[in-house]
Amino acid sequence: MSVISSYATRIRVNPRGRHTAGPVDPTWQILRDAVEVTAREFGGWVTDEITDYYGTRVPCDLAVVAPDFPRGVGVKVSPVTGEVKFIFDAHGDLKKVSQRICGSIQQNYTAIAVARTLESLHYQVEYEEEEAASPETRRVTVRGTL
Amino acid sequence: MPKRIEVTVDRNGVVKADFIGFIGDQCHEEEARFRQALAGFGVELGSLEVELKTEAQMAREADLEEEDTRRRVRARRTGAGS
Repeated sequence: MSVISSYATRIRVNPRGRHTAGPVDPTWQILRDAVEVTAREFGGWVTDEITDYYGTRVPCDLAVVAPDFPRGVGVKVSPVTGEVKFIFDAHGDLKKVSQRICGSIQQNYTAIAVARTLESLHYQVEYEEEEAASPETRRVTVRGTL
Repeated sequence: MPKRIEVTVDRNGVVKADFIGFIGDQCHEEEARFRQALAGFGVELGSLEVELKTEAQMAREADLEEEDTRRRVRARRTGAGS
């Protein structure tokens, strides 16, 4: 029987992947790629720290700083479980833009990971971004053909 | 009929996967293979909803595939003739 399945996703990178010698761990590479795509989308850049409302610097594994949100959204990876968490200070009506940045990183990570997965299973992969009325409803389709 | 997996990712991290052209248990087997491989790339899937396709949906997919194959054969013939 053919099915269409919907899933909630959770991102978990290799907790030891950041400091391994030799080739970059694939999950860390995807995380960096996803953060870079998001930074470009928001006209920002990638760094490794954010600031809070008082200007205090907070180090993180990766961060996106954008003109719309100069404090930045940080990505923190648990060194034990590899779970990916977002940190930011949205004080002062910046909740919406910070959540858009988090959503974009999560979407980009998942789409890149799906594409790599399909390639690893020998599918031919196509990638399509749907035009959306608002960034919140933007959808990405990854197609694999055997 | 070529086999396809079509995955849509939205901003809330919800993934919708459509397995097209898999017959019988192949569909569930491929879904398990896909899920396991995706976890290796750092994305864990928690099942939200599984929607069984209706016969009409499956027939429509088969028609589209047939039309696609016909189009490709025509294109190949035209290419060979030129």
